[in-house]
Amino acid sequence: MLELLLFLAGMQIIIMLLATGYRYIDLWYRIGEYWPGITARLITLIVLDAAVFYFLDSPYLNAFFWGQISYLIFHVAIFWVVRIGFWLLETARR
Amino acid sequence: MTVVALDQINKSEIDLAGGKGANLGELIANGFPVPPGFVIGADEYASFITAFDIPSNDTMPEDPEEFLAGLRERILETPLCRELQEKITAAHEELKMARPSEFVYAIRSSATAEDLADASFAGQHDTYYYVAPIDLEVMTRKCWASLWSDAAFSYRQSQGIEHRSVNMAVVAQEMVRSDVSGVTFTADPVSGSESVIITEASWGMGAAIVDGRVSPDQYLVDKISNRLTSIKISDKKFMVPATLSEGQTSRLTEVPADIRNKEALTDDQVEKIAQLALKAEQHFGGAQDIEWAIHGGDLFFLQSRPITVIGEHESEVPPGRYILFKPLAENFTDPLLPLTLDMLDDYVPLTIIHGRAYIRFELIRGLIPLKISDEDVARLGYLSDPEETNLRLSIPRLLLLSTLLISNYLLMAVFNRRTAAMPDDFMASYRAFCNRIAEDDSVSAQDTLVSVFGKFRFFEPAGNMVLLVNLVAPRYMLFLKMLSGLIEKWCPALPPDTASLLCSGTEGVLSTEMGREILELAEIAREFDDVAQIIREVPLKQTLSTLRTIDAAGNFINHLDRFLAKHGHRALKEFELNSVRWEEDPTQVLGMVRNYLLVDSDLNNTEADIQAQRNELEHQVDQALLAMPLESLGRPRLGLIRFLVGQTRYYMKLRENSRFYHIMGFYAVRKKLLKIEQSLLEANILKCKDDIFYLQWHEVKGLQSGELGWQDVEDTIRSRRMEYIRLSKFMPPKTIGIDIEAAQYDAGSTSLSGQGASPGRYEGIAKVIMDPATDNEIEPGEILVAPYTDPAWTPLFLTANAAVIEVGSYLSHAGTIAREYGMPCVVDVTNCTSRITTGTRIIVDGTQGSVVIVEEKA
Repeated sequence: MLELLLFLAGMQIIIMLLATGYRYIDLWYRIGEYWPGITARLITLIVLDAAVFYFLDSPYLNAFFWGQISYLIFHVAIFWVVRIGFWLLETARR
Repeated sequence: MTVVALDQINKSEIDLAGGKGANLGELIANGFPVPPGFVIGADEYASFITAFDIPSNDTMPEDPEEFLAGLRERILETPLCRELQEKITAAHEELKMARPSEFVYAIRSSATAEDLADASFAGQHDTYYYVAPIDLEVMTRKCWASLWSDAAFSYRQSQGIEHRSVNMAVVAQEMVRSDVSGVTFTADPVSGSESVIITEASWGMGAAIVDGRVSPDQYLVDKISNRLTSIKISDKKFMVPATLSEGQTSRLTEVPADIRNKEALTDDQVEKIAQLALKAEQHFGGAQDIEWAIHGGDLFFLQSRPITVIGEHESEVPPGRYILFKPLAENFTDPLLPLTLDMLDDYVPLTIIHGRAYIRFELIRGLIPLKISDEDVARLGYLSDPEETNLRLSIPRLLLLSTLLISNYLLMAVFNRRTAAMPDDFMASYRAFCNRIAEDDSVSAQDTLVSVFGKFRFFEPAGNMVLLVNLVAPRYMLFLKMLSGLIEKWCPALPPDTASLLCSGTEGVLSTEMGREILELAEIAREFDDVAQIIREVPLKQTLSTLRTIDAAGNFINHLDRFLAKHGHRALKEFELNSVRWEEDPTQVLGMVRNYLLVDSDLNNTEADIQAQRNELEHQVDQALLAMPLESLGRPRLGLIRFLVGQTRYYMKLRENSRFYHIMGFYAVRKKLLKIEQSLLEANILKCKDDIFYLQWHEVKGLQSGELGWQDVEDTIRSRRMEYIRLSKFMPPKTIGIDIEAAQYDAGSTSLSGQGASPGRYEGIAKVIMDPATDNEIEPGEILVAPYTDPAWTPLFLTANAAVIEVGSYLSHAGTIAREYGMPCVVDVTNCTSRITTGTRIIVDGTQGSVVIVEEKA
């Protein structure tokens, strides 16, 4: 049960990390105003992540790690799945 | 061989004169006013066509298009025999003797199988106008050739009619140079009602109506009392004039601005037409579809044929159960045009019925984890409340829904967080994104649609993904629900709509700002009497050009340009690709400014009053919470309330604003299509503006590549235009295959129910507006009654004191704007636009979701 919760926690933190990283792009048009806040948040999340890695032991660390990795792979993969989906639709249309 | 004067024909002579000719002869014989003429008998055609060796239906080529094209060409190239030519000349000379001046002919095809009760070939065979006597022979052959058009051929095939058994007579009549023309139905061909006579009328010749080029005025007359019961005036943009000017190549001309929205018929004319139409129905023994024309005050009947299709086309509805897709329908209830439908079809998992989008009932059933009746599922699918109040969970469906929700969470988790707490202008980059794609000639119109809504780079800014933003926004419902629950628990003495009121008045909602900016334009116009006078009095089409001639209008024009730079992509029915955008034609914007100039009261006070009410309510909440235990220690409850209010407002704003940008995406697609249309018009491949929107995408590509020509699409465009007009005449049913209304709706009731979308109660006079393009005048204090609304209707909300909407939901534009302006609003009120008439006194209760008719207008 604790491993499941850590798996989910790992996912949640990587989600927050990704979203924070994207903020540089999303707020690029006003980056002068927003970069300090984004950077502070990013550093906080990285420190939190690092702390978890430092203090946790296997198998709990594995659960946390796999939660992060699996969502990261999912996030990248889903983008390409959607692109391929559009390509298939366009090919069928043509 | 036969050429006979029309007044010598009667209805039994269909084999000689064809259905049309026989009916016309019968009308003349019974005293109806029909233009004089003669018939070139069907036997002439039969004699002519024997030389062409037409195969029987069984031996027709499988792919007949090439055969038909060749046959038509041969008919056109083969001259008539000398004897027939002489008979035609003699008939013309006889007609000419009775006429005081030169005239031209209208040549009408009259097949022997048409205009009969069980097979009406309406529109299949050709009619020609402005035919000079010298061209009678050529036009006769053209009419004969029209018997072999692809459309007529297909129709006969579908009806099982032997092609060789149908002969063609040609009716040559003096052409009436119509001032006004139209069609009259002695039964409603859409609903099947036989108690009403429907007349549609527009300026000029009838070709514009028959071809579907113009939306005509519509007049309803009660058959028993012969009283005019309803008038709907349309914006009649085009007409076919009675006389072509020299060098004029296109018959379609623009209607002068001062009569576009003017009634084409007087009440007396409507009643006279109805009386005569009823007489025709009684004579022929069945409901009639009559074409007529008025010249110099004189009425003429041009055609009369039986109505063959009355009531809904059952074959149009696929088997199964469906629910109207409300998120689209609440923005406009008209059918979508063929090109829009075709472009969306691949990407939107909806079923198109009657030109509107429906969703399969089974899809909704599967997503709702409650043990409720199918009718209640349909109500929920239609975003209405279920009748059942004791709701129980269905565990299997709950598991399915939970799986879907978890999947959705995983898919959208990063994007949800990316769009949390963003500044108001984070989607502003979408404008440049759309413009870039619109200007890139290497991207087709179809690919534009995909590019602006779906095909993103990995590191695309969230502001460019407006469709995803719209998908994130509904989470405001969760926050609102939580807020409502807490207010009810902690502040039970406050009104039940407190949560909604607290969340209204959000700054930065672009559609609300649009309404304010139009108000500002009116105030700028008021600064100079000349400017205000021009806007009030000059016809809207000429207003801007007139303003540009005076120095005093400089400031107003600058502000108008800024307004259009920001909001110019908007339009009425803005999801429809053929809707003209404000940037292309600011007439509608000027009309809204004019509306404000005609109103005396100070509209600025409205928003201040609403804000004052909100402040008072916040104070009451604050006081109520202070009385609770431990609240004074850091104000935890107030903090939670404020957090929930903030989140609700934020996501409601996100929803409205993402919608603002969606329309920009559609405009990018429209720009591409307009470029294609322009090139096709210049190459004379298309003949009329807007025809492109009645084609499907593969047909447009065919025209561009040269695979298809005008002759390949002409009939298709005509039939789709007529089909669109037919579908536009009725409101789409909320559900198909499942009935959710029977218990609720009573046609004679003075009490109407719907869904409360904005709280409050108000009594006042109703103003029914069906289309703000033709009628956008509403007085302060009046109640807006409309079939639907979209952001282009927003300025009307600023003037009205309450709103009643036929198709809508809490989430719809009407509900959102009504809450922003603090006015009572009831949506989803079945048949409100027919049940309530302008001038009726009504009470709107947006809290209860009810409308009461207090006093009907006499």
